[in-house]
Amino acid sequence: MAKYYHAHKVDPDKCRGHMTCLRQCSSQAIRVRAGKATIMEELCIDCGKCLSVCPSGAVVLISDPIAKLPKFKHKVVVPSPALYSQFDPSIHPYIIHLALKQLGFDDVVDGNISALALGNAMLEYIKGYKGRLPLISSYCPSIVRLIQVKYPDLVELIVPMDVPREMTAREIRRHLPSKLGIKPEELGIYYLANCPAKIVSIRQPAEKAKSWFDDVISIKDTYPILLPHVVNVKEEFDPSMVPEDFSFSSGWSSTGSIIQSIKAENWLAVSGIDHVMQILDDIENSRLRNVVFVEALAHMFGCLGGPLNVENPYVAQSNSNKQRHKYESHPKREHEDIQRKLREGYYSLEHAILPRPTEYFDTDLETSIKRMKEQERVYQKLRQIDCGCCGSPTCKVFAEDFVRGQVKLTDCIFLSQSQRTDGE
Amino acid sequence: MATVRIAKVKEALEASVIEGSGWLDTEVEHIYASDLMSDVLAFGKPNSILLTGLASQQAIISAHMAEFIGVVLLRGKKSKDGSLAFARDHHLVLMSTELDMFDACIRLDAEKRGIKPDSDVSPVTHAADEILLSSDFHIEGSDFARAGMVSTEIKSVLKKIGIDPKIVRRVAISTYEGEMNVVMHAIRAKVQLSVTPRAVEVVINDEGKGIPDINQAMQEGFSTSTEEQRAMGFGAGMGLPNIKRNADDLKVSSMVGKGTILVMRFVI
Repeated sequence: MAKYYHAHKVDPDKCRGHMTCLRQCSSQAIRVRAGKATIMEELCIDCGKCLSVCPSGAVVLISDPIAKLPKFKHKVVVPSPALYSQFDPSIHPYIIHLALKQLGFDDVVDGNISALALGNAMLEYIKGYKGRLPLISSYCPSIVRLIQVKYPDLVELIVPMDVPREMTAREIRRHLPSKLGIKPEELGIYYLANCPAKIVSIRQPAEKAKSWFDDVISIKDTYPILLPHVVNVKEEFDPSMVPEDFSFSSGWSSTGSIIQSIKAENWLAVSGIDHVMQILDDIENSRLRNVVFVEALAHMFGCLGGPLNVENPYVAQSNSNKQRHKYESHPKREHEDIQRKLREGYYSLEHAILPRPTEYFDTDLETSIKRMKEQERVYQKLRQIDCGCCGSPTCKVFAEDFVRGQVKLTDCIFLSQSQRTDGE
Repeated sequence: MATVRIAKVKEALEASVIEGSGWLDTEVEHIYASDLMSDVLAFGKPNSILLTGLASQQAIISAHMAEFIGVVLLRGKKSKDGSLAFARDHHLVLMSTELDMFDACIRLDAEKRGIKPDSDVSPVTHAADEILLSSDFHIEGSDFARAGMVSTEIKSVLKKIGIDPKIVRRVAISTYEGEMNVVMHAIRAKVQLSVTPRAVEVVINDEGKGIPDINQAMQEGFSTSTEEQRAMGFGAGMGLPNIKRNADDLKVSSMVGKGTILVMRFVI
C-alpha cells in the first residue's frame, strides 16, 4: 500500500484537463501536467471535492460495488448517519434497514447509538481536562488529516477519543460472533460511507493499526440498487412492523449536531474546509479564547454535504431535520457507566494521532530561506492572476513548484509569450 | 571616558556621509554593531554609533530610541527614503561603508589601539546574526476584518522555512496580540519579520497615540480599550503580558503622540 493511501484517483483516460479540480482543491494538492490531473498524495486530505466537481467524471472512487464484496457467513452494515437524509422523511428509517437487508446484509446496525454515549463521555473528558484549549473533534477524518498536514502544532488538541462508527464496529466484532455461534472470521462488517475520507480512515486509519470494519462501500454506488428495494418495502410497510427495540437518531450528521447532542456551552461548530482553516488559523493565533471545544467538519452541512451522497445537501438537511423531529427517540443516558468506561479507556483512540507536516523545501534553515527567496523572485515575475493554465493552482504555487524543479518558467503562458516577443 | 570624533570613525571605515555632515565633530562614546534591533534597544548605550547591515528605517528609529548619535550602514547598503528624513529630523548622522561588520569592527579596534590593520588578511567569517530573511508587512488601524492576516502570513512563511512548530506558535500568538493592539489603538503600523540563524525577530512599529506608562501597560488586566472593543472579545488587558509570556525577549519603546515600537525576539 502507498505511504498515504487515498480512496480516489484520477483516471487518465477520462481526464480532459479541465482544471476544475485544480481550482477547487482546498489543500492545493492537484497539478495538471501534460494535460492530465494528478493528486499529490502527501498533500491530499481526502475531502473528495475533486470527485464532486470533475466535469468528466475522471476522479474515480477506489471502492468495490456490493456485488464484489467478499463472502462472509454473516454480513453486517453500519450506515453513515447521512444515509437516512438521502431519502424523503415520509420513509421510516426502519424501511431503509429492511431494504439494506434485502440487498443481502444480515444485520443493519445504527452507529448513532454510540454517538450519544460518546458525546457524553466527551463532555466528561473535557470537564476533567486541564491542558491547552480549545480541543478539536476527532470525528471528521478529513479535518484530522488537514490538521496533521497543515497545522502540525494543533494535533495535540484533537480529542483523543474514538469515533462512533469505529466503536459500533468494535462492539459488533466483540459480541456478535459468540451470540450467533459463528467464528470471528465468518463475520463481515461494512461501513456505508458518505465521503472518501471515511473510506481512507477505514482502509488506512491515522489513529489505529487496523479499523474494526472489514471494508467500506459508498452511498453513491449503493443508492441506485438500494432505491428499488426501499420503494418495494415502503409499499408493504406498516408502522406496527417496527420492532420495539428499534431506535433512530440522526446522529452527528450535520454541522453542530455533536454540540446539540450534548447541549454544552462554549462550543463552536464550523464546516467547509475554507471556514475550518480560518478557525484553525485563529486557534494558532490563540484568538478563540472562550471556546472550549471545536466541532470542525470538512463539508458544508457536515456529513450531509459529503461528496459520496446523492442528494443535494440543502434537501438532505431539510430531510434530516424532519426525520429528527418525526422518528428520533432518546435512549436513557447511563452516566455512571460512562464515567467507568472513560476511566478504563473504552472511548480512547487506540493510537495517538501524529503530525504529518509538509516539508516545503529543505530542513536546513539557510537553504529553505534561499529557496523561498527564489520562489518570491519568480512570483514577482508572474502576472499573479492565478489563471491556472500552467497546471499549478496559483501563481504562488507555480513559483514553489519551480523552485522544487517541477515546472519550467516557460510553462507559464505569459512568460513564454514575453520570451517569444523578446526573441523577435 | 575615551571618546572619538565621528569624523575619525568615518575615516577609519572609509565611509561616506549620507546625512548629517554638520555633526561630524560630535564625540562618540561607544560603537555598537548589530543587525538585531532588539539588542540595540536592550544593550545600546547613549551617544553610540550603530554599525548595522539592516538598511530599513527600523534601524535608524531604533538607534534614535536608544539615544544613539549615528548609524553606519554596512556592505554598501543604501538607506531607505524614510531613514534620510528621520535622520535629518532627529539630528542623526547617517553614513555608509563597503566594509562588512567583521571588518568594520577590526578597523575600529585597530584605530582605538593605534595600529594599522592588515587589510589583506581578513578572516572569512559567518556572522551568527546575519539576516537571512527580512519581510515587511502592513497593518491598518481599525480594520477588524483583516486583523490577524499579518500574523497568519508570518506564520505561513515560518512554517515554510521549517521553523519548529512550537516556536512558530509563539511567534504567531505574539504577532497576533501586537497586531490587535495596532488595530484597536493605532492608525497604522509597519511590521518587519527578520530571521537569522539564531533567532526570529518581529518588529511592529506603529503610528498612533503611544503608551504613556509602559510598566502599567505590561500589567495583566490593565486595559484602555473601549466597551465596544471588549464586546468583540478584545482588550482584556492581556495583550502585552501575553507577548511577554510568549517571546524570549520583548522590548517596548513608545513616544506619546507618535507611536510605539514592539521588538519581539524568539530564539531558534
